[in-house]
Amino acid sequence: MFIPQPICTGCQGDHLEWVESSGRGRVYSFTTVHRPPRPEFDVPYVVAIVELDEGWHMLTNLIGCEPNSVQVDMPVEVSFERMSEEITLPMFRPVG
Amino acid sequence: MSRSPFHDVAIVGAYNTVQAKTADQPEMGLLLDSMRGAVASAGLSLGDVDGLNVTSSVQRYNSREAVALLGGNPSWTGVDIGIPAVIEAAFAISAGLADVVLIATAQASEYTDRVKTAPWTRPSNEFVECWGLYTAAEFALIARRHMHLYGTKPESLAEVASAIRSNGARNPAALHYGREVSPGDVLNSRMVADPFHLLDCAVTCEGGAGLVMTSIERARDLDVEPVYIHGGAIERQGMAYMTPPVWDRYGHSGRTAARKAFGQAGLTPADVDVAEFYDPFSFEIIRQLEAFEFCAEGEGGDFVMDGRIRIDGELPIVTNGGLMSFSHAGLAQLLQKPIAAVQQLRGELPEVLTVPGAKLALASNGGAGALFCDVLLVGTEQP
Repeated sequence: MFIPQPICTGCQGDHLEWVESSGRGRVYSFTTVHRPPRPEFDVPYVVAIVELDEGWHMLTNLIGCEPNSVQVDMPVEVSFERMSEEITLPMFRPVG
Repeated sequence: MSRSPFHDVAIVGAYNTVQAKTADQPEMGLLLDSMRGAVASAGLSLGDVDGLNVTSSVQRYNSREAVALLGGNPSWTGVDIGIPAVIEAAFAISAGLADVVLIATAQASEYTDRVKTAPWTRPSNEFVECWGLYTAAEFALIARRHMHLYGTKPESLAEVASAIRSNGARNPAALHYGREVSPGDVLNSRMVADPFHLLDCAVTCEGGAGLVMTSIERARDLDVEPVYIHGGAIERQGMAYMTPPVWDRYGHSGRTAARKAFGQAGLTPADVDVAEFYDPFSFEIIRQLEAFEFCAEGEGGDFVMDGRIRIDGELPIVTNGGLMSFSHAGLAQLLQKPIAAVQQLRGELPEVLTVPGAKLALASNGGAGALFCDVLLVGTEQP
């Protein structure tokens, strides 16, 4: 289940626990953004929904590849990117 | 099935204020214009109103405060916006809680010389903001998946944007009146969030709008053409701009609402003469055609071609120019979909945009990227 919720969205039960993901998955969908919501973002950048091998989805950025080389179903893996002293973000890179 | 209580209710007034990039008066002035204009278009006065739903985007003026403006006369107040506000008012009227309901809303002073982007398109939370996500990108993620699954082409998206913008170009009340846009112009406009070019996206602006509803008995006594509510339903799927807009889960947003609305009406999509689809982005039209079952899954891209959705086509859509050309003003833009349907059916749009013999119109709010989609069916004939 993602995003985190106070109860299970499938059975409405309380017994939730954190499960570690493999960090590997495939690009489910993506968009190359040319007009950012804030000037802090350098364009173009790729926003994607990654479908993790465990079957859950998350929003992220794809890095380490040319925007025009990205394809749906492309295998990717998580890459923890240090943005500042306090912030590290789970982005994804193509595998292989 | 038993008769829907919505069938005892009619829309008798529909009004838009001037829509502008930035409004030339404060929000309260625009709101009063919306209220007065809507009751006038129903042949009523504000003193006739006994149910009130007032919202404003910036000042957050609300129904309970607005009741005071009408001398405390309205005993019922609504809280919802857009199509849900119409459905809520229909319940109130059919239950006898109110006889004449005025829904009015306005947005002004939202934009400045420095800030032109709609605030609700820039959600701020840990699941989206850090990725540079905003509304256009969220809806693009839905569109991209459809293009991957079904081979939907940018040319189909461009045809949708061109058809809607061509309607707005011929509507003197539209923000983009006179701005004819070809499919080529859409494809040649700068990229915003692939596959959306600038002209695949809605405008931003300010304005107000109002709608008046009453019982069909009361409507008979008025000197206006009533537009009847045939069906309406709401569909909500959770927190938008936080949850990933996964096609498999949200791509059919609105199908349940559409089936309920058509079920109440005893009608099918084939009966619809005009579709005032919610049009924040071009692809959303293709998606709604499939979600509401005007065509089969994956066929929306072909459906929109060959002039079919243009004003003289088989299924004219967004006949006033919509969010892409007419207006995309705060909370008003949601109400402007039912207003467009009413004005189309009453022949109040310019003649060049009037669909001859149109009897049934669909209006919608929301879309897959927003994780909600509401549907309303209105018609000239009593259900």
